[in-house]
Amino acid sequence: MNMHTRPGSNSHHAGGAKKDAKRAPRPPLWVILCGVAFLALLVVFVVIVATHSAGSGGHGLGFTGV
Amino acid sequence: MTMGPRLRKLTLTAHTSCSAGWLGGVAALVPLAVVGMTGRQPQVVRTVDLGLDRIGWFVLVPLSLASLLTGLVLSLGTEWGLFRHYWVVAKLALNLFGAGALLEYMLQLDTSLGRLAPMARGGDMGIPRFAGALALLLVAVVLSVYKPRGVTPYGWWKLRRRRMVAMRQARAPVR
Repeated sequence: MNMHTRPGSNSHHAGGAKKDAKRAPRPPLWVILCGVAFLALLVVFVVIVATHSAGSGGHGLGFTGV
Repeated sequence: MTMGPRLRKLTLTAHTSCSAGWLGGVAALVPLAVVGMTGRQPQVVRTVDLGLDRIGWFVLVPLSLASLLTGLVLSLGTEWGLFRHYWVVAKLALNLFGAGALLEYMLQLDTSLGRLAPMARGGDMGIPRFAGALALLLVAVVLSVYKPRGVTPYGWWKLRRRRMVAMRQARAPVR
């Protein structure tokens, strides 16, 4: 068995290397981390906007808002 | 379709200028927002609101939209593409989110100004919003400068197809 294959790789099977070459590479770690952070930010933003809209009768967020 | 070097530099200059202007504008609004939040006199608070409104509509919104537009032109007109590299996709998402959040804030600010509400309200979300926008724009700058690795499945497929075409052309007999 080829010991230089990465976990989950099927290149130790016959024709596996060919299959791996056809598959797109996994996204890097920074993409996953930034993606999760961005989604969290999006959720927080939506919650804040929804809360403020509900609290001010549908509008109003400026400093002079009521 | 890729742009020529002159047009590419022109678009890059426009994109960099708009993005830097947007970042600088947001940074300049943070102290103004602090004055608006901590000010006790209604006139001061009202002036700050008016300042935010004018700067927002006449500087920040046009710059954010121009940054988005020039970014789209730049990515589609160069080899980077729009959906080929993760850093370009991330910048597009940040730009769209930033422009959307800015527009939403401006519309709400307009609504409150239209009411002519006389009293300042504590605990407003202006400062966290501007600070968040500043952080997002700084992340976009970092992405532009460092261009971290990572090709999307679409970009990988395009690259692979191009290589295959190049290999076929290389193997083809010369007539």
